[in-house]
Amino acid sequence: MRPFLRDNALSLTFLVLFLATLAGQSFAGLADANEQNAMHGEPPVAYLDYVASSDFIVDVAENWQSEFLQFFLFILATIWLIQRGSPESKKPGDSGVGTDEEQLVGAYARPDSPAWAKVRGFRLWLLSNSLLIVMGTIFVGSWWAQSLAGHIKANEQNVLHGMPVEPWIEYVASPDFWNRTLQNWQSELLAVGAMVTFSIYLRQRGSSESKPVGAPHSESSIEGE
Amino acid sequence: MPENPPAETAGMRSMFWVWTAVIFGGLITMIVIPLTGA
Repeated sequence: MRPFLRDNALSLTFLVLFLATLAGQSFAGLADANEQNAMHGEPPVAYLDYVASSDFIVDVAENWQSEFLQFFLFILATIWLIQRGSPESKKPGDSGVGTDEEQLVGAYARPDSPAWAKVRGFRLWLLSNSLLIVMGTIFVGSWWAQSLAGHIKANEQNVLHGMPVEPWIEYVASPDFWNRTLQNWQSELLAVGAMVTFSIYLRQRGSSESKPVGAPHSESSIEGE
Repeated sequence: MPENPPAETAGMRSMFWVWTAVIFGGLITMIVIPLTGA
């Protein structure tokens, strides 16, 4: 295998899977939308019009926001909270942001450490929290996108049924917005909890998400050992 | 952590920026389209 493909296979594989499933969602969503249109005696919508519509965007955004909320909360919670025995958790007693020596910053930075790990002040703070900041930004942005697209779609339904249009602020307090939001949040939080606890006793040989098969059940993260 | 990790590669940087472009491109698109009322 070419070195580029071998070295980046994980991110390339998920990129291809993501694009393929997004395309699949767009075709299935178009078929579903046009079934609804036929039932209401309306003309079918074209593919490009559908993928550039709030109808499609609200379905994509509601899933995006929950995935990035999941990672945001997991990254944040694992700074402080421990699950004894889970490879997803630090060891009991290791909670917190760690010392400069443990984090290889400032005077403890190595020659090959990132440049901003070697300095003090805002740049070190930004690098130190950059993963959480970016995940949180994508969560907030996609939740906002969900609310904007859901608002447009809800008002299209209101007009269709002869009801008054509602302002955005009313939509974000509506059952439709919170049903879409919470149905995604619950599944993400369930999956995180399952991963944290199942990985105490279960193994997948060869996976970076698992402890080594022979590692004791009581052993938490093996990072840094 | 190994004492001498391998050097950063162009592939690593490419993957980082491709994923950044996909996510933020998608995010901006999903915000702009409903803002235009589509």
